[in-house]
Amino acid sequence: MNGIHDLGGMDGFRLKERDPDEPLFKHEWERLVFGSYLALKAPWSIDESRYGVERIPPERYLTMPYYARWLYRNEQLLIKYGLVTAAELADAEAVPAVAPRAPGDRDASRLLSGMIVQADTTGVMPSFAVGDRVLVKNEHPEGHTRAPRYVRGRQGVVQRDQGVHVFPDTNAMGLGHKPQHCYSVRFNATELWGERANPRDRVYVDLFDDYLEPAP
Amino acid sequence: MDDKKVSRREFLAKTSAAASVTAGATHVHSHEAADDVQSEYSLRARALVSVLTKKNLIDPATLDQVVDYYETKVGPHIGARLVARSWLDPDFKDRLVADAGAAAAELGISGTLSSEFRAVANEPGVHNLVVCTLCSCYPWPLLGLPPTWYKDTAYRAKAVIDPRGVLREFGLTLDDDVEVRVWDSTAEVRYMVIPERPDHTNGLSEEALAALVTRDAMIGAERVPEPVQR
Repeated sequence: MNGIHDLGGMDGFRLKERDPDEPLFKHEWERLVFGSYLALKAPWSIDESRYGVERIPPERYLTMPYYARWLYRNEQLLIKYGLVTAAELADAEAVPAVAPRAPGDRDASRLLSGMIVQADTTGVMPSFAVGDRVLVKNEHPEGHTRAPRYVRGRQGVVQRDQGVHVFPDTNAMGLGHKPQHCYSVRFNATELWGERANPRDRVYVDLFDDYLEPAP
Repeated sequence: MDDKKVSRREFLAKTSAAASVTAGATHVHSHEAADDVQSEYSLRARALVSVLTKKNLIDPATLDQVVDYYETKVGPHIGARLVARSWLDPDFKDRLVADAGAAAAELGISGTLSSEFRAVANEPGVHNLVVCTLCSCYPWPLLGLPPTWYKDTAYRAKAVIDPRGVLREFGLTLDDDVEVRVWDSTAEVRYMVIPERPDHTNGLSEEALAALVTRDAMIGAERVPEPVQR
């Protein structure tokens, strides 16, 4: 979707100062949002969870702190999957506690990786090779996509084949894994930004097979 | 925050009561004070944790463990080890650049199996900068959770169109003939930068070198400072 999240190339924002000593979580609620999300055995994929953030209304997205976006997304996905209801979130006290089960997987390093689906690579061939000139298709899907607007319609060169991955555009929408090759594509900064860019500079973007066609 | 004085476990124990009293009133009004906004998020987060716990969808002990893992176990010290080793061992640097996840595994660093990790090396005439314009992708197992400035809209917007301007604001002015390579993390590949080794570090141990390497240098936002400056 052409959402507010697709920020690359926009002007007018002010950089935040870098603070080498900032805490990971500034408020306890941020810890709760982060920890509860990773502690959950989520039935959705990481692609759908990203899509959940992208659908935050744009005027709210821009003013929400980072973990408030997570909170919004978590509430919406939990409700969508029927794990909780809006009524339960509005009146947590009224929710009866069920008997506790045995503890789940507590290996924190594995909790995130559980959300990332490994693609079945069998028989998936690349359409492009390193060195090929490619054109990013000028497509504007209404659903999730990982082709940022600033590269659509632009030409680059395949710099590396990143292997076979689940296709986020279909996986986020519940339309299957559609495994395919993903490539690191190198763009001249001037191809993307015209004369504003330094001609020496390059931007590398990881792009899926379906986003690309041979450059004319 | 007063919150922080309360242990997480005590805090969780209090959540259901607090949430039930006020959660009904949390739907958005126009908030004038930042405190009101924080308190709304706090109430909603407590209600969420309370409901998930009561319905057995999460184990509060797992929540604690997850937070503890990212607060105390994973962080830029891991990436700094990789960088310091690469400065001392060119063969290791080659392996790090070829497959950062596998090179990290050599040093016993875990959590790198789910995604692919790439280390891109700064060198004379080349400066690398990592961004995620679409969300906040970042090499968690190697650098921990990303800093606020990295996740912020402004950096995501500017890094690809004006990387030199971003770096200048961050205090690093690059010559025009340096090539800037910006890496936009749009798929399941995660990037870190191998910064250049500062001068005047001859004879330093791997540990001493690792202690010089900053988080932001491994994103490309700054150079590793000279030891004398620290």
